[in-house]
Amino acid sequence: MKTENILQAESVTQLLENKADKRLPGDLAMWFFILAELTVFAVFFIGFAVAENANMAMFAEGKAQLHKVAGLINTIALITSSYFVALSLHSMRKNNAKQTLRHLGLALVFAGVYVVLKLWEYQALFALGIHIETNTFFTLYFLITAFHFLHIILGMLILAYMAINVYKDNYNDPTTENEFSGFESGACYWHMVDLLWIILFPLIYII
Amino acid sequence: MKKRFQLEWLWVLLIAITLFNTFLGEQFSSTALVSVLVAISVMYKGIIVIDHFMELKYANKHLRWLMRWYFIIFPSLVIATIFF
Repeated sequence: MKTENILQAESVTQLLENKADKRLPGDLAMWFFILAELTVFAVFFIGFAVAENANMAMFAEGKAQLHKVAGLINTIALITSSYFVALSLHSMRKNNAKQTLRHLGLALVFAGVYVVLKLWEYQALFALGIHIETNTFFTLYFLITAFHFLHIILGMLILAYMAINVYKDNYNDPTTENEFSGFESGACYWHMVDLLWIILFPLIYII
Repeated sequence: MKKRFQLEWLWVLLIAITLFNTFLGEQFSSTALVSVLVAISVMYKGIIVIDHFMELKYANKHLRWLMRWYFIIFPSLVIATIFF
């Protein structure tokens, strides 16, 4: 009897582990989208690294003209925003709508810091007479960062949409997998945008 | 509460690594050692976000490894370009 119980417990544990192994946070379609986006950025990263190897002096000079502190503040803003999105998921699981809204709001505020600072950075470069056609470094700089900027805007719209849904109580049953997956998908998209900047910041500003 | 505390700790760690990377870049210009250290820390930061913020640590293992490989391959390529 005892052996039978142990075997049963082991099979339940295995079943739970297998279930966890197969669990997908968010929708499958969103993951296809995230992986496609990461692939596009991978091409940009490779292109940037290859161009840098061919024009070392130009890239070093270009990097010296960038505002490193602005890049650093933007990195901190995006990591903090991502942290608040992770907290909002945690609050959603506890069915605490008020706290979820507060966390999503803070995530949006920090995303806003990124947007304002990035626009200021572009403005400062334009004031110096630097634009997309200045040289290969700035062509790639503007292309990659502007493309990432557009993802931030889309991410902010998704976060705002999630906040509206929480406010309207549309995720009325967070324990139901289907109801919750939309929220998880949005959160994962935002983390992807943060992940991309984690590579972009050192690649363009530091190394 | 434990999970929330873990997230807070990881956030502090991510910020600390970012500040350290920027300090390295500012103080020691672009030496090979700095680039390798920054690339390794980027790898680590990516894995933290993937595992804990995206919550892939206990989710679909194929997806988790696909995402992790992205953060292993790209910083490794950065390291490779330093030596070739």
